[in-house]
Amino acid sequence: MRSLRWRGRIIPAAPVRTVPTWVLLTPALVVVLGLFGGGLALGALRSLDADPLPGQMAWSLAAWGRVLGDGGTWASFGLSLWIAGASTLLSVLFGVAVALMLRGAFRGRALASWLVQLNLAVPHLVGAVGILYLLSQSGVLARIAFAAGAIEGPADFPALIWDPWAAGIVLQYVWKEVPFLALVTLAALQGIGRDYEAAARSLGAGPARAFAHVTWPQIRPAVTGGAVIVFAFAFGAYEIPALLGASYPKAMPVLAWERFTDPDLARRPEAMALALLIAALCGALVLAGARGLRLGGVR
Amino acid sequence: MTGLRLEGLTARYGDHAAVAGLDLAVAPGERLALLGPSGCGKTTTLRMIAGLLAPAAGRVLMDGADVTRHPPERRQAVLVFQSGMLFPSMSVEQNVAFGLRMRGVPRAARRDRARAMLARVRLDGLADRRPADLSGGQAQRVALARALVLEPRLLLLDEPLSSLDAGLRDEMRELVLALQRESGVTTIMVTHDQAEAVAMADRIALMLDGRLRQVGPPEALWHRPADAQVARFFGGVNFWPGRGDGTRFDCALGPVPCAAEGPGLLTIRPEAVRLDAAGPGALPARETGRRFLGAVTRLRLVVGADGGEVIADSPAPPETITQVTLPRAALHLLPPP
Repeated sequence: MRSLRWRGRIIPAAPVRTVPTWVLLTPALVVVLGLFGGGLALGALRSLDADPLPGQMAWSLAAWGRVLGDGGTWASFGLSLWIAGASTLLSVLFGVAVALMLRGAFRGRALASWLVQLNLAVPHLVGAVGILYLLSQSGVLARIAFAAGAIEGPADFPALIWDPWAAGIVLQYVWKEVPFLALVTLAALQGIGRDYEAAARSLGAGPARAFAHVTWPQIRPAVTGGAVIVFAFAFGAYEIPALLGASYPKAMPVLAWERFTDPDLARRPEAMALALLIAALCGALVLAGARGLRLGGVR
Repeated sequence: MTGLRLEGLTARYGDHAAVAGLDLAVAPGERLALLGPSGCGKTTTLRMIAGLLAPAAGRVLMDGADVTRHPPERRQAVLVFQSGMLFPSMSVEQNVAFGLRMRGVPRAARRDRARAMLARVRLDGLADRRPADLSGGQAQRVALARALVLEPRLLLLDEPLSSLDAGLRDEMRELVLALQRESGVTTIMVTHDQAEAVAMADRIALMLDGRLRQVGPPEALWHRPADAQVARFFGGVNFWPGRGDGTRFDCALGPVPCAAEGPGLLTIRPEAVRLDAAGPGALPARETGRRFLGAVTRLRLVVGADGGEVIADSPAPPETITQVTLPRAALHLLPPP
């Protein structure tokens, strides 16, 4: 066993570990399985309970039947898929572009880098309120357009909030997630350095093809990992679509919350079924996406 | 075969001139070594030739045509990096075929050419391997194959042997020389190792502090260095300031018979000092130390009344040394410091 010397002191080497790995993992597993798995299990039980009274149980698949048979659920699923997909795609595009710009050396790079990271500390909800004030048909931009004579009334301003395309929601997620993906990508880019790209250029590849053939395959695992996080978050988050979303269809988490807070307690199992559906669909999509993009990394 | 000319080539990092007004011509088919200590600007120069770094001033001409503003992909001047820089997401064969793919060579043709090139660097069996599964020497050979398969106008080698251990080094050197002779490609290699430069180059361009100090065949830099710094870089250790009158040179060793004229630094390579024979012009000497260096033993000798020191390398020095001879033909006068 070797000891280290650090600042004049001798630091004894760690003793050989004798505790089995599973014992060391237990505290973390208890938290994850207990809270997360327990929550899922309780939710599943509640979704199968047709009796609204506490302490009573009446096994039934009725709630699942109502949820799956309702066209509104599938409209919500489509909307959530669209929100998460569009947000992820745009965030990746802009995030990678920003990272590519930030990795070079230029005057003002430190300032640009600081500005890009600025909104990482801003909560989603604050950003959403900002978007609301800025983009709604009675918002700041609409007022400026009216004052400039570009529109004649609030209704002439394009609907970006509470609109069927969920433009405001997607915009909010992109605004918030571009810096995140830019940071992840930048770290990956800095990890591989620029000599691979230089080698590709020297061998006859233009800048775009050097990126596509040489740089992208090396940063893809990191970017995909970041994209999966963004997708899962945008698919399952409640507050932004609740604030900026249209009344129909509603994003899936909003629908679940509505069922949960419905005065009719008999609808609560539906909320549980919806929540489980969100978890299952989200998990399946993330798995499929990760497999499709070979998240495991470059072989 | 392509000739290269650099005119007033300058690179700056902030206020620091990494390369200052470099003028250099390389003949078609020539092997030139850019030699110098680390930080002397040689790699920066190589990158400017490859087009990977825009010069602050000056021009790069290939066969007389100004390519200073051409991007790297249009120059056909392929740079082989010290660490190979094989693309980790591609197989060995895909790496070698990469440049051909960029040129639009059809799949079957580039596969054949890549395989043939791999055979020439004796890596036939490794076409389907990943770069991560290669040894350092193998990776270096793949990088060389990846460059040569393009039949480039210029081959630029950045420290081609530095990352290899001694045995592989000789093998790789012979391979590079053989492939270069076969293809006749004009080659510029950067190295900090004077032995590597001497063994591989037709001519050496020695750079110190961003400037060219001497350009010429290896023998010239070895035996006729331009100044004391160049001499030191090639292992020169004997420098005696003094003045010559055409028949003898007066310095700390006393009067040394030689044809040097005027003030300057008299020098001789340590291995040229003779210890064995008492011939004409022999100087009385006293040994003050010896150290075994492997191929030679290095001796410190005091010569003359003023305590002048001579350092001599000898493969088999005599037990006792009483005199040294500085052969006239081996003595060389450097400008005064």
